[in-house]
Amino acid sequence: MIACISIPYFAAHVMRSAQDSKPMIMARYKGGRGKVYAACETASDMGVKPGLALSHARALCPEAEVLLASPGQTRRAVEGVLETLSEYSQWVEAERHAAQSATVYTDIGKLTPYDGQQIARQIIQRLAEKGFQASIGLASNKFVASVVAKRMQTGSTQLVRKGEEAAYLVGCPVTYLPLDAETARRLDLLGLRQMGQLAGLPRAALIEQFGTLGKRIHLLSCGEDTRRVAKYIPPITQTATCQFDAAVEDRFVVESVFASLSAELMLQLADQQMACREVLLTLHLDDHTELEASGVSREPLSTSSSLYRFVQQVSERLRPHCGIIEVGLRLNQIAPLVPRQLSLFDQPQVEALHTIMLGLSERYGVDCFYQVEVHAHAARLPEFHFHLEPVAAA
Amino acid sequence: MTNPSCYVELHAHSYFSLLDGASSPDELVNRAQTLGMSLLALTDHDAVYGAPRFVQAAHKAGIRPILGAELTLDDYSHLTLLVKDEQGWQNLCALITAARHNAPKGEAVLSVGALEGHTGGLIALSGCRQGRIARALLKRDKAAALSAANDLLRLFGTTNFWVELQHHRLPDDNRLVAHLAALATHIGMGVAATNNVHYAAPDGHLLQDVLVCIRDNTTLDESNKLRPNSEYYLKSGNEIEALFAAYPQAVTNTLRIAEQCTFELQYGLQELPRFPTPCSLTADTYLHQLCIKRAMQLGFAIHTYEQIDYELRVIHNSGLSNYFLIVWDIVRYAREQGILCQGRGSAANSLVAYLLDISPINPLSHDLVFERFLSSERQVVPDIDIDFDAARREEVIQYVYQRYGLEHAAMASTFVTFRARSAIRDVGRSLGLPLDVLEHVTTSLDVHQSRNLHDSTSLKDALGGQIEMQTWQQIVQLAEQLDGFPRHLGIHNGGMVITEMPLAHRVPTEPATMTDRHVTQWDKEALEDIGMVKIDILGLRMLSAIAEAVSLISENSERVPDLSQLTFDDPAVYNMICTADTVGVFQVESRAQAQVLPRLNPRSFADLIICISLIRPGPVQGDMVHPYLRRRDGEEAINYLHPLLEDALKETLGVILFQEQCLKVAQSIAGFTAGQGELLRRALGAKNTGAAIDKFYNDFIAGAAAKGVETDVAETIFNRLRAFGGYSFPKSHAASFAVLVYHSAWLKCYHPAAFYTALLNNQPMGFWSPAILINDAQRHSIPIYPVDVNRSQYGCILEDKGIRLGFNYINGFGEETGKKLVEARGGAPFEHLKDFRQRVMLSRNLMENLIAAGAMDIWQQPRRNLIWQLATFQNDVKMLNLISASEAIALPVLSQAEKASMEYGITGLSTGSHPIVFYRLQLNQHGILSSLQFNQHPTGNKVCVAGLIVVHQAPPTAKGYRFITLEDEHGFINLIVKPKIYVEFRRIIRSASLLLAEGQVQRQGTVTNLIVERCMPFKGL
Amino acid sequence: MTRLFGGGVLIDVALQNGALPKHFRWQRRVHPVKGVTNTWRVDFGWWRLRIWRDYFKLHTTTGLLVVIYHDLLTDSWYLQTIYD
Repeated sequence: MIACISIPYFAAHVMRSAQDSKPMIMARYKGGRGKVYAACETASDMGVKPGLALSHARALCPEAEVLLASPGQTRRAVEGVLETLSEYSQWVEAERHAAQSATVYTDIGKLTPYDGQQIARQIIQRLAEKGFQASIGLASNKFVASVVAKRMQTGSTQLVRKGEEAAYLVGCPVTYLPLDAETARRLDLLGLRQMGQLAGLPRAALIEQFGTLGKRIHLLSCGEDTRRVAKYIPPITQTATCQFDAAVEDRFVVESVFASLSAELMLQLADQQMACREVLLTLHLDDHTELEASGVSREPLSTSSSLYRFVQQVSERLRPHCGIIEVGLRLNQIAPLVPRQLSLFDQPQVEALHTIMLGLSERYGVDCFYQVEVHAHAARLPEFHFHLEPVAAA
Repeated sequence: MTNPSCYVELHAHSYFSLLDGASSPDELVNRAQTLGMSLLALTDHDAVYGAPRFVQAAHKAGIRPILGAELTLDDYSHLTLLVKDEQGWQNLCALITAARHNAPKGEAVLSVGALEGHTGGLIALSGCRQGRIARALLKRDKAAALSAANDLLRLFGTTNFWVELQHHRLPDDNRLVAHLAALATHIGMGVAATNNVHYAAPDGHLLQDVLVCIRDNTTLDESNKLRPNSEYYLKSGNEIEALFAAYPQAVTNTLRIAEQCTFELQYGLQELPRFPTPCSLTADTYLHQLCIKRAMQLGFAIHTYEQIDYELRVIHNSGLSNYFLIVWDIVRYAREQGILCQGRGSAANSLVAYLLDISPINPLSHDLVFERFLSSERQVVPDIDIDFDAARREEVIQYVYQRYGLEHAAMASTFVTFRARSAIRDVGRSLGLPLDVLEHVTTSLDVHQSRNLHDSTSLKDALGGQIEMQTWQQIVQLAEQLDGFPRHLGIHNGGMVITEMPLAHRVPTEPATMTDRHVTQWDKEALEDIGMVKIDILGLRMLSAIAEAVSLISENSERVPDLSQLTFDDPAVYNMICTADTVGVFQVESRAQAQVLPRLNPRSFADLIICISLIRPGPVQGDMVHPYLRRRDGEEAINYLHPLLEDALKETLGVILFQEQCLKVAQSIAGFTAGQGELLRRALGAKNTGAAIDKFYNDFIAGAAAKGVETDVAETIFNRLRAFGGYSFPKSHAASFAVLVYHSAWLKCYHPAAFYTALLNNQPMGFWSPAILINDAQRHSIPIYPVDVNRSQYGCILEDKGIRLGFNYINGFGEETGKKLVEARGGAPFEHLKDFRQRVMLSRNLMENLIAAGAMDIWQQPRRNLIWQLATFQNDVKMLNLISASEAIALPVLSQAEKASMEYGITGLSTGSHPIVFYRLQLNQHGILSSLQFNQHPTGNKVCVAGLIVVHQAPPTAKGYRFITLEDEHGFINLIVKPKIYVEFRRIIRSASLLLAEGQVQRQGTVTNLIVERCMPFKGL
Repeated sequence: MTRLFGGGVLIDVALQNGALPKHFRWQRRVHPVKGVTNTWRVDFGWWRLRIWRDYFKLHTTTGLLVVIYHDLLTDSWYLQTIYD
């Protein structure tokens, strides 16, 4: 049984403090132009949707407070939800791009409808304690579960029994299907607005019309979805902090702290041959406020100097208005630096292989057989990715 | 005032160094005056845009102006040139013209070779840090510096070349100045100190930094072109002397140089090309001949010849005979080519203009005043404005270029200046604010000029407390300073300057964005100040529509209507106008006009002139409309402050409405000549009215006394002129337009199908959208046929007493594509979709648009099935003779409402029912009135109405009131929304296309309005 | 080693003729000015924090080659750089 947990206006919940009552819009900027990243329920009701130009959004909801979107913060909140759900099942997976709403799936195994609903209510309760209002759909596959969840009011749950998926979906709008804008437009033009209409058409005709997407939406409209829920792998993070006795305003001092924290963290990662890509920098200020900025590097950061430079870049987005009392650095998206290669041979076999290679090189020449060592897989030029050494010399 | 010094600033930029200089020429002059300077040079980048204004301001301040420019050479180095004499001016204009035509629009690059032979009368200064010499020295290349110096010496000679020294307290300025001075000594040349001024006062550097960022489209944080300090202001002689204490001769030499620059800008009419006259007649004689011949053809009475003679005398004395012949020739050419045209504006006051067929108005029949156009007292030479069929205006412009030569003709330029919105946006961007924040603030800005930003309530509302923040304070202050600053150069809409000598002898020209066009560096105002005359060759789409309507009528019937023979007295035409059935009619179709026409009840050509003049921002603001209407309705007595006023004001029932009446009042009461009256009228309309008018006051009172008018009455009349004169409208202009009002109304009355077709083919124009025109046509029982792949052409056409829409109304259909389709069709209609697909290569989107618009309904196949079939073509399944899976698809049937919605989405209009029809039953059930019902309701009743929002106006003069027009299948409903109500229902009004409104009926005669109390979105039904 | 003092070290400066520095006091020692090598003026950053300074590169009788500046907003003097 698959449960789909839908948390609408997720990013707004993450950013909002308890006292906030004003409508909220989260925005991202590119080239001076802002676009809506997510909006709260009130703003959404006024027509503010993700992707809308911010100027348009402000015209629709002039009293809204506009905040800078923090995808990192949203993602960390999603991780928190996943962690909570992992207590119920090891099969937990979030849908990508959680912003306006977060959608998480979990496979809770073979349960009776009653037990399934009980678990769902527990999950709703747990999430409510964390400040998230969720609805849960239960079904035999991810798609149907997600449609059920998105159609429910928050705080409620519904189950669609196996075999009743198609009947449930008959009257559901096609907007729940994974459609690109052009397909959505054409479906509307053709008057195909409910999944039942799509299910009633020959699959071949939809394929003819929409290609492979046609097949997919037909299957989904019939209530068929073979996707499984992936296993949950908790993320690895590393954190380091530095507290000051007195508030510091000197930029040079703060930057030297960046350097020492970078060195400290990179030492830990280097031991495990790991690199990171995401950095979260937090400055705690003298007036008890916090400034946070995060960044994702295009290349994995595997040395303290590269980490330090990146932290400096990230810090340029912060403008502390008073002294700093603590600097916190957290590394996310940690992964092995060097790709692990599966070993095809056990140790005695490796030694035997080496002996054979030596023999071959003696027979055919020392420059015929080389041992490969992966050196710097992230290097820009391929010739620096690995190092070749003649077998005889190795 | 500082101690007089012999220092003269010889290198200064005004804001006519576009997006670089941060002070107006006037500000520079004022600063120079404060500093006690008696001479000042203006050297804008590759331009003399500001020369006339600078000269005017300098003369007013008692300062001798020196003209020049800083030129950009082909290695992007700078060279400062100053004009000594007339030859120097001509050479400077030629060099600037060459530089401008040698580079893309907006830039200038002069090849050094072009300087050869063009240095006479010019003094060269070696330039700023960007000068070749300084640049070489900064790179420590003394050889290159010496070579550059020798080149300039050779070109300009020993007496006309000086090494320019500048010191802005930069770290390497001491060294650079020393090297420059040493080099000057080495080659035996003098040195001259300048300050490369970019702003008048030291705090101007803020605005200058912002302008640089606007120019480079960057922010202050990111720009690497900002000047490192604020030393580039107009300094006093003492400050300069202190900087150049080691080189005192650099300071004294500035005066020596300035004293050589004695050039005075030439004012007055340009020498116009001599119009070729027959038998070597003089222009005066030929003009006289033409006028008399025409007057005789028209059978004019004897006394009119006196007027002709008088006008010709004034024209001759003003040196304009040639000008009139040139204009006559242009109009003659247009008429020969069948291009509709007519003069407008003040020229309609001239009988000569009428006789030459330039103006359609006989001024004698309409009691117009020649002196409103031209008089011996008037210093300014007037232009003649002519409207041409917009679609063919370019032919006329090219005729002028070909006839007179590209070197002798150019369009007048115009400066696009910063207004409140653009100022806030650009300043805000330079300060790093996101665009959306700026757009949010500027969208509903309630001030137009940026100098009024501190008064803006919308700004305060949008920003709230943020307006006190430093950033926003900076933005508002800097944006206010940008008021009136030129942002970039554009082309004046049709003004052409023609000269006998090459134009570049008088003023430089530069290329415009359009190919084969170039513009003068002086705009309309500067040309007027200088006294050069131009011809305004304007495009008017109504003329295009009228021309097309006549053509359609003649194609479809045997009679070709000759509009020039209409006599402006057809009751049927006036009946139509009086019922405000004027959608599509020139000048009288707006909502405001429709409200007034039934009350005004125009029944004659003179009434049309009043209609056009009355509903304008000026008379509304000047509170002339209601007094006139009340008098017309008999609600108020018509009285005149003095019997002598009756002649002048009786046509407007005692209200001053026309500019010509200001002249007549001055003549009647104070004995002014018509020319003096015109000067008074101009003063009334001038910007700084106080001082300008005061000087006429005493003459007026004295003249009135001489005529026996009591002083207090004369004072009251003068105050009335002062109050209303500035808002009056030129009757001559209104009269010219009234001709087009009548012609367009006549066409609508008698040939509506052709008229609407022509309007639809000449969009955008007029007050109403094509959708409203279509609906209006349908209400006049004209069938509208949808686009049809087998019947339509690119443009709309007449068909079966109706109108067949053209492919020009399909989204994405350009003229070429439309013509391609028609050509592919040839004589054989398309049989089905596959046939169409095979014969016409169109993109899938365009085909889909055609289907959705109903253009393929002729094949009797459901639109959705046709759209479905489009995809199957791409798979070429049928070519493999495989059975398509789509052959038996049953798609939902399109309802009528959906069809209409589809059509609206693609064409912007619907040929079927009005959208409201689909809801009419439901509306009736809820007691919601149609426009037919609403317009019958008595005043005071509370009702609810519904309709599509087609107009939403918020005139600045309306004090926050909003005027909305709804349309349903029967017509219009006019809503008046009070400010408080608008605030309460703003979101609904702004987001709805279909609106429900509840309120009280207000009826005045046949005009009905709803005073709105509540608005609801349609879905709330 | 050339030392750069970040934002500068506050010093006392006496002027000659009201314009050029005559001597300055730093680390409890007076450094008479022997000669001013160069001066320049900076006026920048008004949109955030205006920096408006007159800089003087000078050498002293005490053997120092320094850059000092006069902050024109606060009328304070600072030692910016000591050259080795």
